[in-house]
Amino acid sequence: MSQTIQFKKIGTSLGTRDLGARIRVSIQEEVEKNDKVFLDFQDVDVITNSFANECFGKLREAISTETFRQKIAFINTNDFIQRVIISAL
Amino acid sequence: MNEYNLKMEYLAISHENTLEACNNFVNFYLEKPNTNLIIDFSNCDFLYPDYALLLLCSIKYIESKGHEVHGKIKLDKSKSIYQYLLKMDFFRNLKIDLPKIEANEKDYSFVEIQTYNSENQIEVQNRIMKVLREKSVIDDDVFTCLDYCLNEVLDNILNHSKEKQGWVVAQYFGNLNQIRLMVADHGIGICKALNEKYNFTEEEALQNCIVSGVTNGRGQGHGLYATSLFASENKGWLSIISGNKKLDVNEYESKVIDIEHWQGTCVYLRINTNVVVDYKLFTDRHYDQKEHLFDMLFGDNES
Repeated sequence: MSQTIQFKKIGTSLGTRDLGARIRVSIQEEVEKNDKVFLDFQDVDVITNSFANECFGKLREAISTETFRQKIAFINTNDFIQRVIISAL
Repeated sequence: MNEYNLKMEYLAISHENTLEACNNFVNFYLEKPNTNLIIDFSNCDFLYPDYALLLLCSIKYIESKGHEVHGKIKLDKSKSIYQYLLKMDFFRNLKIDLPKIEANEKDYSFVEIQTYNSENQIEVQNRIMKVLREKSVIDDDVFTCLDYCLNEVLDNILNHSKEKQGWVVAQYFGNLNQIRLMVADHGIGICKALNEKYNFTEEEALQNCIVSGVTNGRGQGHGLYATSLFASENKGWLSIISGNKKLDVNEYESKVIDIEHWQGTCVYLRINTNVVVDYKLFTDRHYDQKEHLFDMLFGDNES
């Protein structure tokens, strides 16, 4: 079973740690219920390191690198977002 | 009753003048709280929004110490600066009840002086970026850089100042192709925030707050680093004001100067919307180091 989280529903510019922390909790819940969780960045322009670190960096710490690798997939990311995610992990 | 006269003509010359005038006024008022404040706009026909924000913030700082600031404003209502300050919510923030000018939203090239907190931070961010998108001809990469940096600066204030709110103002000047924005707080300041981990002097703290990876542990130390590179490459200007020091970053240099005391932190950014900056400038380093992650995260991930 898989689940897709559409980030455009949250905003096109995702920048706050607070928001990152809240979304991390949602993703973690989906990770527990699903084999694969797709994080869809269609129509999202910008995320910050603060957001990415709080959301994805801490998610990886929480669920382990191996689980993160197996269950999380980023889709429809633009070049800028890819760079920020990589630097935040 | 004592009177304290704030000559806006002097204050409107530079950030340094504004900081000096605000510091003198704050010290005087805290010592003699029954003082009548006179904000005198004689011979002052223009005021940048960031100067107005610094003054407002200082008055609010005094109020946060339990004093009620009272006095009067000397300003000719027929002058354009009166209309301007009215639109920027200068008077409303001083709790002076004047009729708001009803302007068509599409005419707005600014975001009024206002407080923000974790509840409305995203809304404020979006409003500023909307002004730029609608009012300026801005390169997509510059837009992305500014969107990123503004997010980080707004978030820094709330995450490191130990205050629940900050102040913000922004205005796009179409004839100059520039946006000026300022974010300020009256929190613990940069030196104290960084010294949760380091042992910096005020000067060292300001020099190091734009160095990649320097953080008190609650962040990655990337926001101000990226912002300083962006401002420099854009031929714009970044000032970070905290305590008795001010860091100025531009295309030529980065230097710390002495200023009159500012309790908390203030970040001023002036960006040229027509000077292209590649965001790879501040996203390359980690990207190159961690390229091996790329395929794992973004490759072959069709849902």
